Amino acid sequence: MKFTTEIARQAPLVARQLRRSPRRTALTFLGLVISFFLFTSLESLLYTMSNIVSGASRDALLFTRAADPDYWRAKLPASYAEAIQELPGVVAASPVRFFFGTGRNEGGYAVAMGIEPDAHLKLGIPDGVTGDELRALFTERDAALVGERMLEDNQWKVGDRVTIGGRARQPDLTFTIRGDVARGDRLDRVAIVRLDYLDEVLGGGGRVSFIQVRARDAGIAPAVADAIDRRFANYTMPTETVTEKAHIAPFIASLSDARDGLRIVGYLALAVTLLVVANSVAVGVRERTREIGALRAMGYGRARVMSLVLAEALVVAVVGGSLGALAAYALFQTGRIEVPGAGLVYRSDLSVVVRAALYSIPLGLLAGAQPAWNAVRMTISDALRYSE
Amino acid sequence: MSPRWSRLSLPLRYAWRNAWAHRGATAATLFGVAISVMVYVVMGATADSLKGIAASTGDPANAIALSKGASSAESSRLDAPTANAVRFAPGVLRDASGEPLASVELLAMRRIPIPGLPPDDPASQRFMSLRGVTPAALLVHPGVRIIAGRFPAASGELLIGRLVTENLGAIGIGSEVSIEGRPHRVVGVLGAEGQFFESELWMTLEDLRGKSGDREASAVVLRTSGPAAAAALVDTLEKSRSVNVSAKTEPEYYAQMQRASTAFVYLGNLIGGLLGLGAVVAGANTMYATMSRRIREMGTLRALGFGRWRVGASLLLESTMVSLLGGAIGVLLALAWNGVAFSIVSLSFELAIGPANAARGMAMALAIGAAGGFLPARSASRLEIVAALRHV
Repeated sequence: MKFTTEIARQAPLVARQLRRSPRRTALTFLGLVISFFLFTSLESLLYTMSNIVSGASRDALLFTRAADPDYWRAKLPASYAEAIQELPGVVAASPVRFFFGTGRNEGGYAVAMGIEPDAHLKLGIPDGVTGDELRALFTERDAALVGERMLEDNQWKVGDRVTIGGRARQPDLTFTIRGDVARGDRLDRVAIVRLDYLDEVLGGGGRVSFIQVRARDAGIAPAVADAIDRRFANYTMPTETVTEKAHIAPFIASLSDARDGLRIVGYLALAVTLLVVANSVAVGVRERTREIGALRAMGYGRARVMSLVLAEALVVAVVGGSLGALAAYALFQTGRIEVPGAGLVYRSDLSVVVRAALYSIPLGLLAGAQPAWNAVRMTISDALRYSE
Repeated sequence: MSPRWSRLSLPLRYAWRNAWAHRGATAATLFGVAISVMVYVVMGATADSLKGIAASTGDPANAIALSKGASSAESSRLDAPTANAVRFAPGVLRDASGEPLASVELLAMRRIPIPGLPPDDPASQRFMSLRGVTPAALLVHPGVRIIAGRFPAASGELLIGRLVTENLGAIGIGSEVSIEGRPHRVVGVLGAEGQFFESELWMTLEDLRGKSGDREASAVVLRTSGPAAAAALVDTLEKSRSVNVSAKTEPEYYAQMQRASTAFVYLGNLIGGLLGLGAVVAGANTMYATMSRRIREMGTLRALGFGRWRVGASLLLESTMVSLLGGAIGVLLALAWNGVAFSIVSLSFELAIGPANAARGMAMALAIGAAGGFLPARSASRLEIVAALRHV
């Protein structure tokens, strides 16, 4: 109670001090907004990179592929899916066949993914797909749901009838776009078609690239993976089942240099900001040395004067820092900001923003510490006589 | 000393002394500029190094044949008869015994466990490029040199790129690397003047074929007498009815690999730009503080006959000087990264920071100093003498 009344009593003084030099306050504030924006952007990028892994692992999704290095070449018997479905702890097993072709732009890859709609939907419905769009996939043999980013890359729109050109002597795949998968979904760069249709076009039906399996919960996923591999151990095509996390982990681990670099840059940005705020508060304290002397002569204790200076640094840091962090969040939340050349769409999360904003508290206190100490170091008489 | 020179020299020394007088604030600005410039230079050099790898790997006298429609060797599949037919295409150079200088190669990406770490832990595996080759590879890739050991002669032997250690830890001749559960022994190390090959694992073509199912080859690299001959060979192969392949000159092929550098150019500009903007704000804040502390002094200078612009210019000069000094420190800090090896997925490279990177860094420092000092300098030059002298 005493603490809150103390804060209430000091608030007008702090506000007045911040208004004393509006230009300085504004510049310091701007510096804070810029560097917290940068820090949050970098943290969001790291979040995006690690989320490729953790986002995938939350769902207890497993990935059964042929125990063969070229597993994506569609070698796994699709019938395995039915056998997997029978295993305890398995909620759904969906065979998936990939088709790599050429889109509208020569040389660019276009990927189609053949699925059995009813089996695949038990794994989850992609973002942004409506009931009508799903129905189209069930009822029309050559319907497709296409990711928004793929639509954009190829300048296609829902309703178009389009073709993915076959590569390396494979036939072309033509389909009608009946729906779109929202940007930001893991499938926002592929065309989802029916497996029976894909088999019909490509031939070689009955073999798939991999089988996606959902375990009842994440805790039993490793045991389910073991059970699947044991089930087919003596078959001519044994399987290798991994969590999606394990599937992507080597790729993420290979990016560790880039991640370390981004993290270091983020902290350097904060270090620079610390100096900017400290400098600005120090200038303010120096300017009002005589005033501080007067306050102390009137009976303000050292602790109270120090807390005034600290509060000033803290207010600027927390407000500026939070604003910068929120600005970055607002921008990346749209899911439209992309790192060109890397194919990564920025994603952010409130936890990233809150963590970044919380950094502003120690930053403000650290920035205010030296000026606060300077403010009370002088004797009252020296402070009253002080001139620059 | 001419009178004109002595008049000019005052602001410079004055600016120096003033920067020194408030060294705390100067140090803060200096640090901000140094960090911004360092990050900008290092990110720019990363992008340049990536571009450099692509540019140096493509030999203008070489042509590369892939399967029709394939955009990279990793996705290309050629059958053995086609690969063999391509070797004998007209325009391909021959060696003394009449054999074409053509290298049939098979490329694959594999997860390789880091030797010495638990092999089943996905986090201790790395994606690596494997290249199945015959000794002809050394004839068509003139940059490649075996710097230790020998060329792999049998299944289970590896020739590793010099920078593979970036991803797989300290391995060398005699080390064992597990590929698909089978041990392979390192028998040689290759260097390739900053080309892609330095991040690859080479093994015999037969060895990698055994691991790639029915894939027999991905590419044939063909040596010709020069760029014109390479272009002609590409044309011949593209139009050929007897072999069904698509062909490119090597520089054309590797140019598309430069895409990865786009991300670094973008991130470098974005991060460097934002940090630089922060430094501009810090600099402006410092200079405003300097100005408000010295208003009376500036009034005195004006009364002594220094013109408006000269008083303002001294502030601008001070800001630029501090910033350039910060820039120089930033460039020196960046140089500490020169030659350090980095890896991005399977590609490893050594960072090369050249004069052009340093110059761009200094240009950025100059811009920060000028931008940060401009507004305070303008305010200072607008001071009225009498008001300034009366300022408390």
